[in-house]
Amino acid sequence: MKHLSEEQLIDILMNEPRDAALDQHLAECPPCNERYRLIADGLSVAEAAEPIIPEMPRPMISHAAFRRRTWLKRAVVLPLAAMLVLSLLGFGFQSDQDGFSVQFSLLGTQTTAANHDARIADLEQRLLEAIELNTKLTQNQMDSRFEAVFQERDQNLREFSTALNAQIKGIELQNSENMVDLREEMLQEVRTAANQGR
Amino acid sequence: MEHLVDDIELVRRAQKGEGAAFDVLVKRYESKITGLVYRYVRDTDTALDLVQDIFFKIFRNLVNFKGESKFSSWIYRIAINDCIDHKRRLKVRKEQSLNQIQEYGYDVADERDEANIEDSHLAQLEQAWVRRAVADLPPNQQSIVVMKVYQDLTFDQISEILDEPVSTVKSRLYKALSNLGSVMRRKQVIEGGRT
Ligand SMILES: [Zn+2]
Repeated sequence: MKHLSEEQLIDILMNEPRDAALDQHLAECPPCNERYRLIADGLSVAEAAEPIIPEMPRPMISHAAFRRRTWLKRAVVLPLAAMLVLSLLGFGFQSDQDGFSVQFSLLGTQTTAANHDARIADLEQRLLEAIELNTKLTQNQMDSRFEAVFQERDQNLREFSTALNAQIKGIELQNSENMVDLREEMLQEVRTAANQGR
Repeated sequence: MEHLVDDIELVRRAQKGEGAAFDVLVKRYESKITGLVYRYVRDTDTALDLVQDIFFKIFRNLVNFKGESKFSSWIYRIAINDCIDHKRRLKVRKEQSLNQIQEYGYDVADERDEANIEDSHLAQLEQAWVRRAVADLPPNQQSIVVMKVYQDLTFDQISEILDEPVSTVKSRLYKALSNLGSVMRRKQVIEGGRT
């Protein structure tokens, strides 16, 4: 019979439903036993490291909180962006004792904003929509770029680790067999030494 | 445990904007996800931040959930990916701080490390190396250890969460455990040499 595969050794270790022949092989095959003992030790390390979850405050999560969060973001970021764009377009923002006023100074004309309320409101609305759309597009683009970078990295890692694993598997099996041989030899030597000593 | 209203029904209602339905889903999964994340990052503040972030992602992406997998698998996937991303970012930051040590001759993150060392002294010194061994695993091996060994999920569940065949999951667990086993062997050799 072939040596046990990694999955079969895991099935035995984690007590998954399996063919009884697997346990039989493990009991009779020293190299497989060596590999099994390694992962059994690994499991005991993992178990010893199991974190104890401490008392934690409940995270503040609710539909309402998340809606506020999205709304707040819009309420703060978008008007700021709109002000920036409007000022680039030639609108001046002024704050004095009479309050806050907006002036339009394109082509050198200075007209108070009050006369242009409707126009500004309309412009502002369209700008807000454009900015919102732009924010969304940028976010999507960034997300997909990040995703692409991660995916490429994962892909490379996968290929690399597959190649490496194939090699390691060979070496690992060879090592297990060598270990068994070595043990046999050492036992043999000890026996010979004991016999000579007699 | 079976619930009176199943996940799919709640998801459908939440997708239509029913806040209460979303809140029931949060209640249902909050502690499971918090447990999973804490077991991965082992730090209360970080875990709470990540859990917030995960549920915000669920909130934003709920409209895109089409039900190809179980809802629980879908949110576990978001959670585990967030943990993995967090670990990657942490690694980048560590590398940067290593560069800084080389550049400036000292570690800007020293203070925090000292606090950690003291903490592990006060806690079980014995446990420190096993924790380090698990934390040093590659992120996708650590996530299998967390899900299988700590969260006690079945291989089928993990396979659905990660959208990978069961055989891949098992072989990744094998790698994780043989890595941990090797750490133990090395430690035994070093300690054997010292005495
Ligand atoms: Zn064998």
